[in-house]
Amino acid sequence: MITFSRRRWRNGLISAIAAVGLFAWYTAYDVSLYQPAYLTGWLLLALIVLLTLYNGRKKLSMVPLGTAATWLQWHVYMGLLAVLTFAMHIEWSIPNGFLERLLALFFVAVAGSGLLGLYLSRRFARMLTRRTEEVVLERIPEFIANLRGEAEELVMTSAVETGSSSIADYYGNRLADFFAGPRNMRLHLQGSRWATFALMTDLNIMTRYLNDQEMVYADRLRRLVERKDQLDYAYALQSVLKGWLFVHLPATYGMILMILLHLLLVYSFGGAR
Amino acid sequence: MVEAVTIQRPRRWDARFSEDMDNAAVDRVLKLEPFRDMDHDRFPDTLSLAGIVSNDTRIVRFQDGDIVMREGDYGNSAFLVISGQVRVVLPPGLPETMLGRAPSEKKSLLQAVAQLWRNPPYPEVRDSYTAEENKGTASRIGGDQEARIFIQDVPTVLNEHRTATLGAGDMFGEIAALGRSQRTATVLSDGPAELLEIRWQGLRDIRRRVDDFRKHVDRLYRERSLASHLQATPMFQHLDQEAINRIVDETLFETYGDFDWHTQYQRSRDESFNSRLASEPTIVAEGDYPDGLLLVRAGFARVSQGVNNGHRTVRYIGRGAVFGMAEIVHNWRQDVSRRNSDTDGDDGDGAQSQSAPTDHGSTKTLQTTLRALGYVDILRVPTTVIEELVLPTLSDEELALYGHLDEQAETSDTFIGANTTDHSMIDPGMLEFLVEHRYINGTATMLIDLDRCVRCDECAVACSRAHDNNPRFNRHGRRHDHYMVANACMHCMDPVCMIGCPTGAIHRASPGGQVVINDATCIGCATCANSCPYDNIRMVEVRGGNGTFIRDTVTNAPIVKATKCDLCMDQLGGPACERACPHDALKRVDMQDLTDLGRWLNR
Repeated sequence: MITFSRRRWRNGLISAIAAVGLFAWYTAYDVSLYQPAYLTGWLLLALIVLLTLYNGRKKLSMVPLGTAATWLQWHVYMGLLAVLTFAMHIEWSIPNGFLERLLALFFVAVAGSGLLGLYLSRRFARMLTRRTEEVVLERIPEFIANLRGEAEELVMTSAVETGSSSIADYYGNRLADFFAGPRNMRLHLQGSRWATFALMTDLNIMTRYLNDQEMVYADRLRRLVERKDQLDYAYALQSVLKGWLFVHLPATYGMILMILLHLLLVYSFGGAR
Repeated sequence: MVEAVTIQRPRRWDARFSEDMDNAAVDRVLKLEPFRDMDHDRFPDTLSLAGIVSNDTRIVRFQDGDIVMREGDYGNSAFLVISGQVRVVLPPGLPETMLGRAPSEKKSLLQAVAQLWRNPPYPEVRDSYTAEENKGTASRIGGDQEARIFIQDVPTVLNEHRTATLGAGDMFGEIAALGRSQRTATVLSDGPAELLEIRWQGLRDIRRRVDDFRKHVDRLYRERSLASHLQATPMFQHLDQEAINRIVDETLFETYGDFDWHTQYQRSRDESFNSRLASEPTIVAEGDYPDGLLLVRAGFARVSQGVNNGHRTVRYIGRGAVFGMAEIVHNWRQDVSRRNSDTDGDDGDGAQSQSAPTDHGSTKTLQTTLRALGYVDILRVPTTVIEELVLPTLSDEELALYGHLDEQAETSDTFIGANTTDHSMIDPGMLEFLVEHRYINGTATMLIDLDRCVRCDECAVACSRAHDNNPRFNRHGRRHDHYMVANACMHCMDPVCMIGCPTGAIHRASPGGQVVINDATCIGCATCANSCPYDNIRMVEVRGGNGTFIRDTVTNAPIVKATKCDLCMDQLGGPACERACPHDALKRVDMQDLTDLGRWLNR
């Protein structure tokens, strides 16, 4: 079994060799007074078609077409080659036509979201493992609702049992919104724990005005806040891990439509070749 | 102060095999061969022969054609014919479909792709069950209210298959019951027959105390299985038949632990590590003289080494492994070396044994402790026999390989398919985790590397697509560090789920050995689900094509079936979960293949 680092080296080396070959081909084409834009254009189209097949492979998991992991490796390294091919195709400059610019924008969106997705896949997976219990994204709202129910019951009981509204007031002012649904997504993505820290600080300040009986409830409430924070964290990271595909895939479809239009225009109105 | 909850300590016979064994039945059994010749004084008062008969046996009545036991099943009991006769179907045996098993067929490419649009929209939808699935058999309820599968056309089966007849006084099934191995033949009732079923605990206790019975069982095992077991062990493979026969004669059989380890494990898995370790029977202890080479015939054992007040797990070993070889080789080489030195001193001719390099170290005692993990069957070949028949025939390279003695106990034994580096490649904490939770039992344990898993659930989606939109595992389970063992059937080496299935619906597929359930013959009794120590079998209520529950025509209760991972044995290309993971995060691991496991963990 090949190690990840060896695989990275191997695939990187193969891609580098392919890139050098591509560049040499491009140069030879250019000095031969052919229009290399046609070469890089068709090559780019071929690469994009191959790259889009990966999504089809994911749907056809029941057919023995190689593992999805192998396909993803192809997808990543061919994607990098596609970026190089694209740069050569636009001759390392920003296209001047509106449609070309739009097409370039789609390409950048696809490539950029792909690279970002790859980075997030590696980074967020580790972060989730380090900080949270395993929880399925779709079930997090249900768990939050359960926590909210527990918190509200605790607050009501506290008010009845202790005859004090301190905890209930604190809940109403500071925690009701916190428990209403997933919160602090941006802060969690940034790795900041400031929001929870602020809640905990306020809770600590409030405890100065609690008696022993209320302190028991305050401690239980604190644990619920910590559990909710864990769920928020998992929700934020898992949402992004799934969400980036909602940029990558629609941008791909848009790009393919633009490519078809681009081809039509080039072959309809292109000059001598 | 909180008052402790007290209960009476659970005892051996808290759960009787059958409540029907009254005094009259016990007296009747005690008058039968072989019980009537047994010396009652050999049994202590707390474990009397009458007590064993009363608590560990039951009388079962079969009708003509009833299948008493099936080839390939795992049993935990033996049978004694009281009256009537039974037929043992000789090889090649009955077809799989007749034994309640589904034929294993792979889907065609078109059928595989068609799963995209042909899978039903409701969970657990089944086509109507037909008699086609279980050709030649049907089920009925026996007098004891247990389901029986019977052969519909007994005369034809008897004409088409070679059989041997067993009559009153004959016993069968004891080797599989005591050795926890698969039944080697199918037995069916030829006319009405009355059988005494003896569960393994009773068999074990009788074997311990009745010499004739022990000799009988041991002789059967020696005759049928031991020679082939020895010949499959690398260090014995080159020996001639005479030497093998000598070893067969000298080998001792030992059993440690609890056959029903899974129930005990389920009860004790939340106890502390030390209390669980203390409950594991010690087979040999660190510091003991190695008086024999130990071969694991069935089950698993923990190899550990004392560290101050605790014990560190060094590795685990299972069926086919040997223990103690390194110390025996070391001591023998030292002994030979010493004798050669003496000879040199006497006659000065400098002669050396061909396979005894100089080694003047001290005699080594065992470097590690061997404990039974649940249940272990051990073959003990005396050291003197090894020294006489095996060691002189090994080459210097083999002696060096088997005799590598590491004071830190990294490797002192061999495990088929493993080498020196295998165990050291696995982080000690991971090793403890795998042993602790008995995941070592798996041949296709689902391991997920959470550092690479992006929680996309492609694995579950692929599994679901491959099983009519019903995922057959849960992406959830115990974690160690950044690894998770998901709740998916592990296709165990010791599949305790298969014990007690009344219809044989849960079975090992051939070829491949996956543990699978034949949906058509599953009666939904949940015996397998309750037995699975890992909670990997789910009971589901099945539906018809229109989404309504299929109900029993008599009780109107929904029909329930056991479901679990079948390792996609009908799919092209193997387990869909593993193939669908884009990030190399999921692998089905054979825990016996430590090389593969170690490499995967250290990618």
